[in-house]
Amino acid sequence: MADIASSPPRWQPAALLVLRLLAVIVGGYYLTAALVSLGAAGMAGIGLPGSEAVVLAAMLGFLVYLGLLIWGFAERRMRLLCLVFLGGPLLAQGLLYLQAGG
Amino acid sequence: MRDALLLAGLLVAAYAGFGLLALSQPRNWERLGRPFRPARRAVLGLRAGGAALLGLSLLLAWLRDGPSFGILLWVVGLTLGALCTVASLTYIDQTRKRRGVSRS
Amino acid sequence: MGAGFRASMNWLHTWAGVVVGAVLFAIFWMGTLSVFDREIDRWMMPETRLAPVAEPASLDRIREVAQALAGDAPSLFISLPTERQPVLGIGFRKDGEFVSRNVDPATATLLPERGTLGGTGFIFPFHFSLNIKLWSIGYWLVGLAAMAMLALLVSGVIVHVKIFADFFTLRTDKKAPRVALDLHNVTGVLGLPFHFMITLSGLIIFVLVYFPNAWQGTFPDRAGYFKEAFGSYSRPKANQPGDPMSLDALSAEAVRLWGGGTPLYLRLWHTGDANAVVEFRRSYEDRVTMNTDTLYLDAATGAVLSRQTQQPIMTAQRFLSGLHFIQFRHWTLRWIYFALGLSGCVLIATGFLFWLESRRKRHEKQGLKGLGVVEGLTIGATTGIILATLSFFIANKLLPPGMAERQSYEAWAFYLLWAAGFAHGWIRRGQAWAEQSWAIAAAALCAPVLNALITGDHLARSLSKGQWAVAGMDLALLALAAIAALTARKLQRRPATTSRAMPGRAQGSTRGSTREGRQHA
Repeated sequence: MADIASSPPRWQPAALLVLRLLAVIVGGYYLTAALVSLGAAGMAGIGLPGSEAVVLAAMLGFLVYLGLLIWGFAERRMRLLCLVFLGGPLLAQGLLYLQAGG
Repeated sequence: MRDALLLAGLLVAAYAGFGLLALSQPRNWERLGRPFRPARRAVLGLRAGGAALLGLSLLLAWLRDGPSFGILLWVVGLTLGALCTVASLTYIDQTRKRRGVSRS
Repeated sequence: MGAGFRASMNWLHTWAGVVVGAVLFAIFWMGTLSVFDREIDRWMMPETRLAPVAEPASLDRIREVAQALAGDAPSLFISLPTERQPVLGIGFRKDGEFVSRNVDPATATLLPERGTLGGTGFIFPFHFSLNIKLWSIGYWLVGLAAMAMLALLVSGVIVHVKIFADFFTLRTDKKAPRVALDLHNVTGVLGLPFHFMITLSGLIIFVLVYFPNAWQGTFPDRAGYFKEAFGSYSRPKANQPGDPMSLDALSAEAVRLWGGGTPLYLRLWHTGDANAVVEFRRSYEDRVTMNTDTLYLDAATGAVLSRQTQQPIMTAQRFLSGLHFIQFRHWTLRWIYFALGLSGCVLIATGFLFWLESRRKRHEKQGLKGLGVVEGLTIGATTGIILATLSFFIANKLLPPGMAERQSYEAWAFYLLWAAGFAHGWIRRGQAWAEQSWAIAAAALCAPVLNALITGDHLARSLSKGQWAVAGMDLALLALAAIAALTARKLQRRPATTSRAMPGRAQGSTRGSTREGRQHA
């Protein structure tokens, strides 16, 4: 905790850091929010009462987001990170759109 | 009265339980001013005793307040007991050192 | 767990802590005070320091009082007195604004307004919204800070390799960074269950605020979700005058239907109309779970229109909410929450102190300027907010009772002092710690004296009359004054640990802090 100079992480360049912060915090949130909606729909689909499914999925959402935050700041492969945090929300939101529409 | 006794009991059990756990570590004996390295069996005994006291604390909390309040009281009571153990160790260590300094 | 992972977590812990630490301290401090928000209300609103009544005035009488005030407001709200809040509350919407007044339950007369937001109106909402209402920014900032707190707890555990070896270790005779780190570790590790639980449950209270679209795949609209989850019920007006039953009789019916459960508050919908509805919400004083048991009765016949009982997962959510809100009657738990809330404040403050003390020498050598910025931030965020809170309490006593917009002046007293605390911290740096501690001691001594002079409820009187809320607040302020004065004296006796110079680490401090970092990282 004391000395970051002793072990400089590889994402030192400021632009990469800003990209990572935005991707993990904002992208991670949208990914989680879409997963919560999808998860609720899925649980309701297998027979849980709708309101119960929504509450359960949303409560678990905080833990999912926490996991994404931790992983997002530990992962060194920037491409994978961008794929998950930028592509993930798009994919999940798209699925949700299709599911809600159909 | 019963409630007060059970409350005192569960807090004392938590405090004593963490006390035994602390005594299973040689560094805490040093801080008490009695350097001592418990044998392996003694370490296990102290830890088992400590865990048993923490369990007793849960039992007393449950008896006092039932399952929902009881577990909540136990969880926060454990933290309180552990903080008291830390405070005691620090206090003993400090007064011992201060006395040592004034004597020499 | 590779070294790389631990280094990333170290980086995350360090910088997330520095960036959100100030907001987190504000949230923890206000949350700790909110444990006793209603007691603070009693202290700030002398008009409501009433003795509990065995037989409160009839609800029908209260309805008359409320209706006289509300005119043709579409709905009326009546909250019943509790142990911690010995007054009845009435509320309604008038000209688009929610008006609420306190009523003496013994006589059914309106109590004069003090013109204060008090603990429940300022401190409690500050805890979860920072009192920033614009676009709900406050909620989102608090939510982000809470997520950061969870990430800090997880990364802190990963970074802290010697968790069990250091479990009981607090050495106060070491150098400043080590003492700060020991205290940070001890409050962090021992308080971990509480801190994790309280942060996660705080987020879970607001599931639908933070995941506003969670219903999207499951319900066609938001209202559908709310209807199923909370049993919200409404019916249109008949536009014909109705003949309502006695509210007391309806209340007795609610108690009977709940098998003895008592109402916490009631709402009257479409008062005076033939389709009037009375909504009863059940009290949760006797349990952790804040139930959502709600009854809708026909105001004219007393027939049950809708009755909500919880399903299991919602009950779990309400249990987690309840253990955060502590609206139950359990004084032991209330005090332990208060103590552990303070330990959370210590955790955050010592995190800042370790960051500062372990870098001070090296930064000076390298001519870096950032340390002063963080030190001022820390001072304003910790001692500054305590000072600001005290100035809120003192303003409450000094501002004249009938003043227009009185509550906003109280709030201004808070914000101005808080801003001053930051400014003072940035200007005076190391010296500001002791100076603000002295200011806290003086202000915390001043507040109970003013309370005695202005309301006449000095300690001897409040204690003998059983005014525990007022006496407790006075005693807590005096305790704070004593602690602050002791701290200030200690800081001035050993200026070396807080100001710029740090003896004993004359050389090789970069090496020293690296070693400490390695030990820790």
